[in-house]
Amino acid sequence: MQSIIKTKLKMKQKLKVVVMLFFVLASQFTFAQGKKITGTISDSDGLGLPGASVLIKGTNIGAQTDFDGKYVITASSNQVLVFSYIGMKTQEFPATSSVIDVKLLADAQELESVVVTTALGVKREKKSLGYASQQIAGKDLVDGGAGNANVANLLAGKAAGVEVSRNTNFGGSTNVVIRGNKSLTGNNQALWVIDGVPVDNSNSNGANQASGGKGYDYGNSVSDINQEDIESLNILKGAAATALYGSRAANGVVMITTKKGKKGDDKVGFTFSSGFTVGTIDKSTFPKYQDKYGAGYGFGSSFLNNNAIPTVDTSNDASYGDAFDGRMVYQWDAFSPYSKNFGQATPWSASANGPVTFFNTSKSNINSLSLEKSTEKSSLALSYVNTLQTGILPNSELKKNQLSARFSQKINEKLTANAYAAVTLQNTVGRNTTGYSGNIVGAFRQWWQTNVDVQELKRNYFASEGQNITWNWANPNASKLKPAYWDNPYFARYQNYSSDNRTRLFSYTSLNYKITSWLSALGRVSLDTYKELQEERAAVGSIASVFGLSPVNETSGYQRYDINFQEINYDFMLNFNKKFGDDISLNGVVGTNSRRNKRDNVLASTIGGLVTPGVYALSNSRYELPFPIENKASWGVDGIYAQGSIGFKDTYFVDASIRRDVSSTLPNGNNAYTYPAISGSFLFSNLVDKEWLNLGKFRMNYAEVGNDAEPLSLVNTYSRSLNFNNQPIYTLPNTNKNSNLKSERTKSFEVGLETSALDRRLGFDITYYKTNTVDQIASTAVSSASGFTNAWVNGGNIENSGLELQLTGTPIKTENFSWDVSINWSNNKSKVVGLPEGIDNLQLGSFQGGVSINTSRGEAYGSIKGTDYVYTNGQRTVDQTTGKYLISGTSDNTIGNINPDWIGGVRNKLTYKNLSFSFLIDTQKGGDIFSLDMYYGLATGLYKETAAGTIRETGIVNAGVAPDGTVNTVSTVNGNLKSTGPGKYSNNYGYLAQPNKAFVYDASYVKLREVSISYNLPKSLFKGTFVNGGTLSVLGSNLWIISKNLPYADPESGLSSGNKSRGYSTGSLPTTRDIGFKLTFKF
Amino acid sequence: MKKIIYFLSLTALLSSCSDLSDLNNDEKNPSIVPASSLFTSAEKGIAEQVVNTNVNKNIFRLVNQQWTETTYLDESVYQWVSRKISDRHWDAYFAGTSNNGGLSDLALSRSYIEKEEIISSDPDFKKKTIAKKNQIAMIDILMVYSFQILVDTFGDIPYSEALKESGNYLPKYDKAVDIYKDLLVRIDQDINNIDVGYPGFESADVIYGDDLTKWVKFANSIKLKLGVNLKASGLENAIADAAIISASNDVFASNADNAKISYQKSVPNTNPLYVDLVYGGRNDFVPAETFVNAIVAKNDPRAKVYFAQNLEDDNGNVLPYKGGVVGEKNSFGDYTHIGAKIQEPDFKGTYLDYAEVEFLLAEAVERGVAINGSAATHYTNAIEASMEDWGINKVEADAYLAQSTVAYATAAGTWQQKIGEQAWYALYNRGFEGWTSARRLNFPAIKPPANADAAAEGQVPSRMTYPIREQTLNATNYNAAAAAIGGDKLKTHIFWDID
Repeated sequence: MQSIIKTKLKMKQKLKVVVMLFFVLASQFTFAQGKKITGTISDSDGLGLPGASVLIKGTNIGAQTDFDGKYVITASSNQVLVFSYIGMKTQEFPATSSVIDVKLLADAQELESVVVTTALGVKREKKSLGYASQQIAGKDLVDGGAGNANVANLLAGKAAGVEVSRNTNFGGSTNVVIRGNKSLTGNNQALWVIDGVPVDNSNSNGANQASGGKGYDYGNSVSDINQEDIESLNILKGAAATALYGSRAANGVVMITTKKGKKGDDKVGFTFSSGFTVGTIDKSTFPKYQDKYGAGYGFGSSFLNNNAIPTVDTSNDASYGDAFDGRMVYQWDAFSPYSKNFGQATPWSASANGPVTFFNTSKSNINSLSLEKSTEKSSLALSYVNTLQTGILPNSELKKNQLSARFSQKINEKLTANAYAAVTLQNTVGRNTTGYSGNIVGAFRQWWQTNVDVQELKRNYFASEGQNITWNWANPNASKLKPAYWDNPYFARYQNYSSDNRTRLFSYTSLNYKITSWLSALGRVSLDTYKELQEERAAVGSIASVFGLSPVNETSGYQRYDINFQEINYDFMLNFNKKFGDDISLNGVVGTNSRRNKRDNVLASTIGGLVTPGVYALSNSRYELPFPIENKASWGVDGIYAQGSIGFKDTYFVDASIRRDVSSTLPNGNNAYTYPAISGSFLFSNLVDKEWLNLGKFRMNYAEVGNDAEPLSLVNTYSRSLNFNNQPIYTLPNTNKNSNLKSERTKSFEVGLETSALDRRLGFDITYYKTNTVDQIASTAVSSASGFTNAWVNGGNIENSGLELQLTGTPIKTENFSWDVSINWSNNKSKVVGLPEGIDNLQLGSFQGGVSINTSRGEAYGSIKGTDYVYTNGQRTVDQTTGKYLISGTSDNTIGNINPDWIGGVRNKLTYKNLSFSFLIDTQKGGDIFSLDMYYGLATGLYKETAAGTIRETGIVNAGVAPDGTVNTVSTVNGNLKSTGPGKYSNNYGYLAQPNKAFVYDASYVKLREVSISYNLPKSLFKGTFVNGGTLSVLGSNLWIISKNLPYADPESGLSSGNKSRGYSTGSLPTTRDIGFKLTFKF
Repeated sequence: MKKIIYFLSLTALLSSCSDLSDLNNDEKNPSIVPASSLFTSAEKGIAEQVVNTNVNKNIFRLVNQQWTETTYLDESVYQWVSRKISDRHWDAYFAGTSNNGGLSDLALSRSYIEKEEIISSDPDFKKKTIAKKNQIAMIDILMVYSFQILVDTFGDIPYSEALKESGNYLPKYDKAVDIYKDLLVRIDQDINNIDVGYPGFESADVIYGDDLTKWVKFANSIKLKLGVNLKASGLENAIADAAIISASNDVFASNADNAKISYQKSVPNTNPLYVDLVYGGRNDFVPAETFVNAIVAKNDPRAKVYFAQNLEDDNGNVLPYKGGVVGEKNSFGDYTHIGAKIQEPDFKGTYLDYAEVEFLLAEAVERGVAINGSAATHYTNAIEASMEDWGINKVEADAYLAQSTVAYATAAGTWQQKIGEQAWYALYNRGFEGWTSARRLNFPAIKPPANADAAAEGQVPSRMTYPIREQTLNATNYNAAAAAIGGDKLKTHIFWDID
């Protein structure tokens, strides 16, 4: 406590000054003569315009609107008020009534003027901003998402510089990274903010899941955001735009402005919408199996005996066996009394119903009801959304109920209260398993017998009332049948399922006090809290696999993971906005933010299996429970900041801000850090008088953002293991903490040009940026000879630079028809300039297959390393005995990089009268991905190319050279694996024949991401009813992967969100094509 | 209005009043623990890595062709990269796993003990002071034991710069022979420092239950093992001879001295073999043909413990043992299975045993080191010890030894072949030491399977390649080490494996 008293004293002094200022200003306020007139000046969408002016005609007396577009002026009723705002048509009204609300319409002849919400929820005219931001209207956002339960998915392809990787997991997480990965190993996710208040977006997947081990993707928590509440979404990309949010905004901010109750007509204000979406798998993201050979590893290996009717060796989870010849054989189902083939031989042939028939049609039903209403003094927006979604895997269901309310009340002329509360109840059963082991989709992609009929497995599972009748008997002749490596996939889905539920409350209340016409104070308290329970099950009779806290593989068990999270923010700020004369405008904010977080987890599991089948409770453990893992962390940041913006002649703008944070996660002495930002913009279009140019703006900024460490990163603590021979055991964790951490810092520079021309039918925005993140706080793999496998280190410099382009245009615009196009494109180049002292390479992850993803000095972030070919004169070298490629002896070769060269999106919208049609094409160019599916699946002979022609019998001649440099002529069959006896075959492809490099694919794609057709039902239809209007939409998402290079899987498929979310693909779900219908009524 | 302003300011003030630095404490996990709990952790952890047969971690029974695999042959054919086996083997000793300790826990336990201050007025001053010394010696003995395994696996390894934690995340590698010499110095110190009249870790010692006399024998046996390897290298004859001679006076003298760890009947504290072979429900391993045929040919009575008599004809008659073919798929049901004894959950885990010591002594005699007893006596003792340890009765053991193919005087081949082959039989289930013995003596003469991975370059591996993590994380030192040992290859020999 004493140690930070100094800091606190300073804070207190500063606050005192702020409070005094508040009093002085308030007491100086004097009332003028006449009648008081109030009202709101808004734009055509009903959004309040801040800084708009009201002038009494013929005088110099005037007022300005506040941040909500509200004004107060005193005038006598014979006077006339002039309402004006840059870019809008000026309007005049006599000052006769006491409330005058004015809706200003855009003036095509005037400059483009868009009001955007910037950091902390402050509304600003976009033209005055010295940094890039991109706004997406709520409608454009939501219309794209057929049956989409995660708001993050809706960003894909819609904004320049924003990389959205949505993996294919059911209810899974989506990675949103703006302008590249800035942190080497830390969080690179954009910060999500609702009405100025940050929202937690963590994913609570285990470390094992993240590194490709067995696990479930429990999704990222912004999926709790109620999409119906979104009025608009603004993306703040650079540090200059976000610095006021402090540490967490270094990765950019996705700002959501919620709907407020709109004033309007005398209708009730209800909106009801109902959407129904069906999804089917995109077959280009699932294997195409060969149909010539069955179970086994080599010719003659398919059968256990040479009887007249042989028995298939069901223990092989591969399809490299004997050719299908239609002879009668006993297959796995001949040994199941529940099968119609029990005791029966069936023909040796490729199955009629392969794994693709395992997938269901997914269904999603989203219904929402919302109410928006406002009166003179208050406004109200309520919404209820109900989501019910089933996935393509059997027994998967996601339910979501979202309730939210936004309320605003004007208490008196000066004081306004605002409140927002959103509750989300999310309940999911049967997420798909991710990773290498225990993942049945992984089995389909890597370890499978092409002679197995999936529908027969289904019949057996149900006929046996839920028994594990598997295709993969360890020994079908054994007296007691048991699975070798894989469960019946239906058993796995229906019995070994996960479930999770999260109850979340996000809310804030604020009071806004208008001290003078140009100064207001805001106090706000916000709370984001959730409670989550994740449960995992393994039914009695399952194949043994990693489970719970047990250090050994378990054949049954139950695990529960309880998570409690809480974040409270206290904000106090003073906003000012004043014009001096006609030429100078000044606005800004001074404030303080105090944030407190708590996270409390308990992980517990059974050990030794379950006693009573079907009872998933800790007390059903065979042995005494392992010590549960408890983690409890609290952390907080206290920040003070000031930001000011000065404008001259509405042409020159300069913005400067500074923030100082004190963080609990850094050691005393190193825990305070201050960082500045400055930006400027210049509207050159005001100086050139060109008819065609509506807006021309040049902008530039420099900003720094400081960042702290994760909580509990300073001091090593021990973890408890089970007692051994009654002795307590503690062991040092594998990650070494670091008590000398200092804050990390992102320095960014940005320059941009923004123009709007030809009656604003053509818009152009280009930005170049460069960020350097120095003194990185990173948790990285280190040589375990040091005693630790991982460590927190501090240092280094990672540089990201890139170009962002946005182009918007309206090529055709007639009375009834318009065509709008928006294009965005960006590239990001990263370079590791420096690494923390004592570290040569930062490893982000190392995976099954022996590949790793790294950050090495001088290379780009995210290089994939593994084994490579051996090159002779630049050619791949072939072993002259086996005919296989020679493989490098070491795994430190750079064989790819996970980062794309560029990303882009094109959105077209065609509107004809009441009908509109839009589609979005989304592209990633470049970036590499390692496919563990191909690594194994080619070796196990599942894929079509492994059975091309007679290559299994005759081998292939690999393109390349002999070690002496001559062209290779040796066939793979020349090796000792040729068909000279049982168990032999020519192993042409896959992990035993090729280096890791062979399984690195270009992750480029072009996708038809969204299609939407929307029809505004004619008003005449509802004449005489209470219905005010209606819209019918047909929405499609992920309809078509126009182009990709990764075979049999979606190049976007990764494990979950986070730094390891791309570049490695194993056992991912196929992509779902969604088509939905949505009907909306207003009444 | 003032009230409102007060309210707003108060909100802001309150918010900055809670104490930040108090927040960053781990309430649930201790930052200081008893040194003994780390020692137990390491004893268990090291044994875990020595004993298990998980394909991801310990594949030495396969290299040694005592066992082979049924369906997935990668490890038997030396494809060790895909599963990152080197990484796991290396990490298990250096850093331990998330459940078990290794060298890092030992180093930490030692630093806690070293920091412990015993006040001279303490009535137990002497006892505590000596116990402290004993504890440090016990820790160091296990460290020497672990470092030897690492050197014998990889060759040069980080040693002088190892275990420095944040002091050095990029440790350089030291020459294997230099590490050996230092290990010998250390183990001598440990032996001298132990005072058997006083306690050590007491009940936290789960190997010997704090019997320090046995710890001294254990230390001497490790010293013998180091000495014989060093002797085989031909590099430091004087040091090797001195080590062997001094150690031989107080090595294990019977199976009662064996360094073994007791397991419990229930998971997870069972023998890891039970987990890998039984509990996990997989049928990955069968005894290898190479080994089974050798055992059967010599009428070895251990066969009935080593192997199961699971093969029967259609009439239920027992069929002869049939080992799996290395490098080929072996349908589990068609081959002899591993014997029941070593699949028991509480089957003990062996660090080092008497039979192994006697084989080393026999070898030392043959290498011309002046120690007591003849090679034949030590050889016979070794076989008898092994028989006894596996529960074979004396009559059967004697009958076995009486065979001309077994008796030292008449058994075929050089001393290397005689000792090497018998050590191979006895070191069944001691995969790593069996491999070391075979590498040093060049017997048994095992051949790589025809479909061996190209990385093996047509030979049975002489070492493991360095971990992928070292290649990527500690590249400069890795490259220097790889060059120093003659290439980071499977066929590169450890310094004591001179032919």
